[in-house]
Amino acid sequence: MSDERVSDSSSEELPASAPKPGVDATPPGRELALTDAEIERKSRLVDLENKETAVAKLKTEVDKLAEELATEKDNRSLRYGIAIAALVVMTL
Amino acid sequence: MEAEKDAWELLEKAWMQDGTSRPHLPVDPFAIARKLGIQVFVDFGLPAEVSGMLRKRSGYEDPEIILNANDSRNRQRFTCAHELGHYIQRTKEGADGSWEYVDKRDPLSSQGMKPEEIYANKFAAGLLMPREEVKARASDPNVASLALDFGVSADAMRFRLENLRLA
Repeated sequence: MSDERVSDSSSEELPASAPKPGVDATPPGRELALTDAEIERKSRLVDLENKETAVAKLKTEVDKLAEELATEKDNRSLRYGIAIAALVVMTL
Repeated sequence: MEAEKDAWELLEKAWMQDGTSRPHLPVDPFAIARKLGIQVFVDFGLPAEVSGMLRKRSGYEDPEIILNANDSRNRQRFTCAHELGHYIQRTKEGADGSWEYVDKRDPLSSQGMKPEEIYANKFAAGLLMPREEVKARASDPNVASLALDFGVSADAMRFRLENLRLA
């Protein structure tokens, strides 16, 4: 199997500088390994955060479009009023 | 068969705790190690030739497994299971004091000549790819798909199938 390896067992004490399990802080460059369930949770969390960001973007877009629509409606009303007024003036 | 038996007993003890008779796949050696009180770390500073290590020091209750952070997740899973094999063997022997295994990948190590390495490899295969589960799925000709189910590399899956004379 490709995963075989040499084992070097020793009863010697490890160097004093080596971190002591459960006592010393995790040394730099070393992290606690995650279980499959934790990785899945983390992945779901990232997925959820991405979806929340997408929703927030869409909401901003909707607000912007609603604002544009309201402005367009106002402008149309104004243009309609001006056209009517112009017609009245021309008729007179 | 002893390593396989030990692996199955560990599965029953630390993985199949919901009363089921079959293990949920893929088996998670990280979760099993945690249940045994073993801290598992990934280390970005391990030399490339070291895939992992298991160590316990005198006076400290909890042993620790350190894996090469640059390895693939499947490789880390297998190494973690392999180190668990060393741990179980040591525990059965009632070993106390300080001890350490450093597992390297080199031409000599890949031959797996040492009895404790043969045991650890068989244990890892039995833990991640339980015999009966492999047999039950052996009709699937797609090794890659099987490997995905068991959370191992395609090579490890192929080797297991050959070992069980199912390939």
